[in-house]
Amino acid sequence: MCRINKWVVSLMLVMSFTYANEKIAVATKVIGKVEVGKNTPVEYLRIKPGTILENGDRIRTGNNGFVAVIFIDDKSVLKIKENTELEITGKLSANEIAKQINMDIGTVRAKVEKQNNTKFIIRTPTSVASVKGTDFWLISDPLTGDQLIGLEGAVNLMNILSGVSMDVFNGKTGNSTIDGALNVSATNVRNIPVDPETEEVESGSELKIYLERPDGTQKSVIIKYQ
Amino acid sequence: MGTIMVGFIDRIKVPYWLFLLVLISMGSSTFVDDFYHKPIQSHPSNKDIIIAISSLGNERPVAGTLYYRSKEMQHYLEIPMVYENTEWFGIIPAVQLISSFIEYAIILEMDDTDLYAFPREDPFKNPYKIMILQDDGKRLFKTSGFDEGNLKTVNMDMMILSPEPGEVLSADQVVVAVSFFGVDDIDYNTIHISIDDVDYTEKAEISTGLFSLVPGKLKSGKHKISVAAKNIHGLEIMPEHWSFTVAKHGFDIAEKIVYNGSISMLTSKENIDDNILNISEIRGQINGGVNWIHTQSNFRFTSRESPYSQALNRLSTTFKMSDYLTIYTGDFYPNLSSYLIAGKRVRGLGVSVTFSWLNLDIISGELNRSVQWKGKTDQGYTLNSLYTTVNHGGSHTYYLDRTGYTFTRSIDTYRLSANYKSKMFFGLYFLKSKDDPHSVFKNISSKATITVDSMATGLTPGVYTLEELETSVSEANGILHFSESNWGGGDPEDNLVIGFDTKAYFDQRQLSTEFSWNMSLYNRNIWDGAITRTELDTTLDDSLDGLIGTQYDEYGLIVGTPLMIDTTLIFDPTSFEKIFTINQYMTPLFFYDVMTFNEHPIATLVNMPSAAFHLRINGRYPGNTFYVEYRQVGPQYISFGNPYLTTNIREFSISDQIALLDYKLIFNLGYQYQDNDILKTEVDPLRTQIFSSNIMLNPGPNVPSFTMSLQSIKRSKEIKEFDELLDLRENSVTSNAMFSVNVPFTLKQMKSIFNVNYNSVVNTDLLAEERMDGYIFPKTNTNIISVNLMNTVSQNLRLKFAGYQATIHIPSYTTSDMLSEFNRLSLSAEVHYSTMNNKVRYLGYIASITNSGLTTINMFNGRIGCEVDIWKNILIRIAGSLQLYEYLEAEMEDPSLDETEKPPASSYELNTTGLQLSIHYKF
Repeated sequence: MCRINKWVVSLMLVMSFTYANEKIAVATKVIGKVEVGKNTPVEYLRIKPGTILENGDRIRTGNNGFVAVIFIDDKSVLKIKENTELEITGKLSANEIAKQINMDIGTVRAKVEKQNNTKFIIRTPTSVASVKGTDFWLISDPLTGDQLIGLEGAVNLMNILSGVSMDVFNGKTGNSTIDGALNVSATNVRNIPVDPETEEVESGSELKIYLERPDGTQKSVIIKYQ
Repeated sequence: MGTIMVGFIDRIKVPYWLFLLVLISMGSSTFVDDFYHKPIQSHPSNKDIIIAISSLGNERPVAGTLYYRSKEMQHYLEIPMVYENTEWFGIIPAVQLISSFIEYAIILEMDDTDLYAFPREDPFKNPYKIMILQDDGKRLFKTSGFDEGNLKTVNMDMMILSPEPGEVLSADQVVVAVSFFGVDDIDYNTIHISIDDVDYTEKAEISTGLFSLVPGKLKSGKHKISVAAKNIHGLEIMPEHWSFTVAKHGFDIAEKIVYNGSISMLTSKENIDDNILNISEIRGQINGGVNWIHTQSNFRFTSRESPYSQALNRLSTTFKMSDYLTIYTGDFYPNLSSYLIAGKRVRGLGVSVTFSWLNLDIISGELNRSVQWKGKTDQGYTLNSLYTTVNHGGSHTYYLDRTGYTFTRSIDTYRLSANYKSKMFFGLYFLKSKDDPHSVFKNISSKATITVDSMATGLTPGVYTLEELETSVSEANGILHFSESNWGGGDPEDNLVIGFDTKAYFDQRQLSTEFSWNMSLYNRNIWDGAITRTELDTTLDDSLDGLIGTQYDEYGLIVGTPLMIDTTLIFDPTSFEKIFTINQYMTPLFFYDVMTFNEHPIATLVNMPSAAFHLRINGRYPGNTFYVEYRQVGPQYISFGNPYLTTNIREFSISDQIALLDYKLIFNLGYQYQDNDILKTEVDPLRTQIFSSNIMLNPGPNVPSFTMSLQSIKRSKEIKEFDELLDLRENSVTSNAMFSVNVPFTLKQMKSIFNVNYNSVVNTDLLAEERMDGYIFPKTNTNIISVNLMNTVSQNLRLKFAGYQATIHIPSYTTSDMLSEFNRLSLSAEVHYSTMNNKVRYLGYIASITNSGLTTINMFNGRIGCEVDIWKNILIRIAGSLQLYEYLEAEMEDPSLDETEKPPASSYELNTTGLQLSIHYKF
């Protein structure tokens, strides 16, 4: 019996170790101070571009910090802005990773590719945002609440306190407050955070400018110069 | 070579002689022309695989053998093939199809001992592969199909994470990352990464499921990445090649322009009693920008805009450049501190510079624009007829004044703040706001008219323009006195505010402390500017001797205890005038109360009349949120940036919120004490104590929720010398109770919410027994109950029914208990209906409101509207409303009146009608 227990414990340890070390994402762009905590108790180390992230890793960014994280199953992108602290978790299955971001505070942009059988979930102290595939900003402050700015598609936003949930669409902002209130209003462009990741860079003698309409259709203007 | 061969032969466990023959046969290039075999690419796992090979020539094999194995098997299994109708068949049973793929090869034996092998080159090393599919057609694993043309390589789902093919990025941003997620048979030891044919494999971090590589600085230009690997069976995976470009300049510049916006045009016409109100407006918002700069422009142009009042049109543009710089132009509403500027409109320029540890906010503009007059008679000029004087020669002097104006009020505000690791913040700020006396002109529009009444002796009463008045006065040989300044329409003012605030976070940002201190200077009259040294000299005495507070007797000797302050030793107030106007109208004249300073120095400094401060501790822990605050705003604290700030108040607040059952059950408890006893000069301070409690039970969505709030407000004001006839004492308790229940339910797929609210406010006079008879306690008691039912009948139809009953007891002399009862009963129904795929939406609303008390009035409100999406982004909305009054007369009990003499039982009156039309366009 004792031996069996040892086996069970050992197996569980091995399984938990295996689960905790599952590689789920990679950091592709890092600006400023960004740290990753990998152990318990958490010890934070500076994150570098190319750092491979595992299930359960905690990321925190400093005042000027920014990191872009790509998930390895579907190329969903999580852009984490300054003064943000969160945990990245992912449950692996044969075809995809069920991703959940446990966000304590800060600002993130999630560009989520279409999920098959799972949802991409961001959980804050105030709300839960779940999506199948879309693009949105989430600004979370545990003292006031959350602000979800829809850029594409729809995001289901639920206030944990009241249990009320609403869909937030493109051009709309969902406000979920710590007193349980949840409302959706038109997005004030002034409130849209700036994405530090640039879409294009100046390349030699050609400048390409993309024009994007609200419905997502794009046109490009190429300016060539000597 | 021999070792390899032996190993290979040993592995596949086929007869040695057969292997040799196969090797020999590989040299032939023509024999396959006699046979045809089409390799199978994929096959469902629940069906047997039938492998067939056709004979096209005259040669007929004497035997055929099918060799196969699943990917986990090291050895091949063999099945004899059957010849039938020029074809050889071999069957791989479905039970063997448990892996992601099956490998197979065919060997045909000819009667001349030749062997034909399929595939023809090294068939056991490079066998055919069949991908095994699930029953629903999906792959068992992510290993994909095979390259028909090259049997030595296989394609696998290698996913490029970074950089994207063709991506342009700066040299320091290059991260190569490739995912092998779901590919379980890759040999990670064989991964080979090269950039421009230079091997970078050793620099890569290779892990299960992916690898990443930071190659370091690459030269600008196009680069090619190649990734090669083998699977665990030694087969080469089809290499992946893609290119990217390193930009010449190593900085980011974003050129993704995004724009959107909306424009709305509204027009409405309302008839209220006999007044017609027409309003037209056009308003819009345009957002645009590139990645690093965003702009937002808002505008509103309304027909209500008038030069006779403050601006109602709005025009603003905000530029947001990255997170570092924001520029506001036009009309904007800055909020830097409630003691400084909060919510007040500024027309001008605002700049906010944000660095990681340093912030700077600058605001410069106008709080008020100048208004010369209000466009009506006597609202630009006024003749003060009462002051008309008779001169020695019998003529008259008439006194004309300027009224109805507003000065331009400028504002300049600066706030500099710094933080340490976002945990400790310190900010210093300054506000300067001043009226411009020169912004209002003495002579205004010739259309401005003045009333001359009979008190203006010598003038004919009537309405005059200024020119007409001057002519009339001249004809009457009078004098028209019109001052150059110090007009009766208001004095120009000046304001200066300085302050600081600090905030610190502790305990993982769950606990914060905050302190802010502010001081204001206010001058209520700056017509004559700052006081001069000469004026200072004669402020406290009449002698212009260069000494302040020094008086002399008739012999020129100093009398009393003189201050003898040399005016040359103090600073010149006029040199300070650009910052603040110092004269006798300023508040405070001195920062603290000199009379109390010696006795209570600390209290005197804390309670300076022009100071405002607060100290706050805020905690937010899981399940428990609390704050403790002490706040004080002196009676003379004034900031033009926040004219709504309540002054002459000091308060202590403590509040705690406890959440239980995963925030489903929440308790709030609070206590607040307020008074206005800041200055010792306050003789009869008013003290208020507020106890409040609240319970919220919200188990979750689609289940009933409940809220209950109880509040007790105790107010007391002692009057030290009170007059019984004018009893201003106060010692009262206000009890406020509120209950609310929400019950969601679904009935035959109709989602509904039933809501009941009850609110009661009861005031009790604790001095009732001490009051004189006939004293009216000036508080109103109310009882309100409301019931709402909201139904979502379908996606197209929503209904709302509401009922409301209010009983109000108002203090009154007309009843014996000094209270008059008023009742209001309201019943309303609202319907929202959409049709044509939600492109047309209707709204209907009807309400009946009955007010009963001294008189009874029924009001009927109705509103209908329609909203149509006439084009992709264009919406038209039309709505109409009306309000009808029914006056119910009191019953006439006088029996002496016959029926014809009695007033009608009721009469109707159309009170308000309105029509609104609007068009909205989004782009």
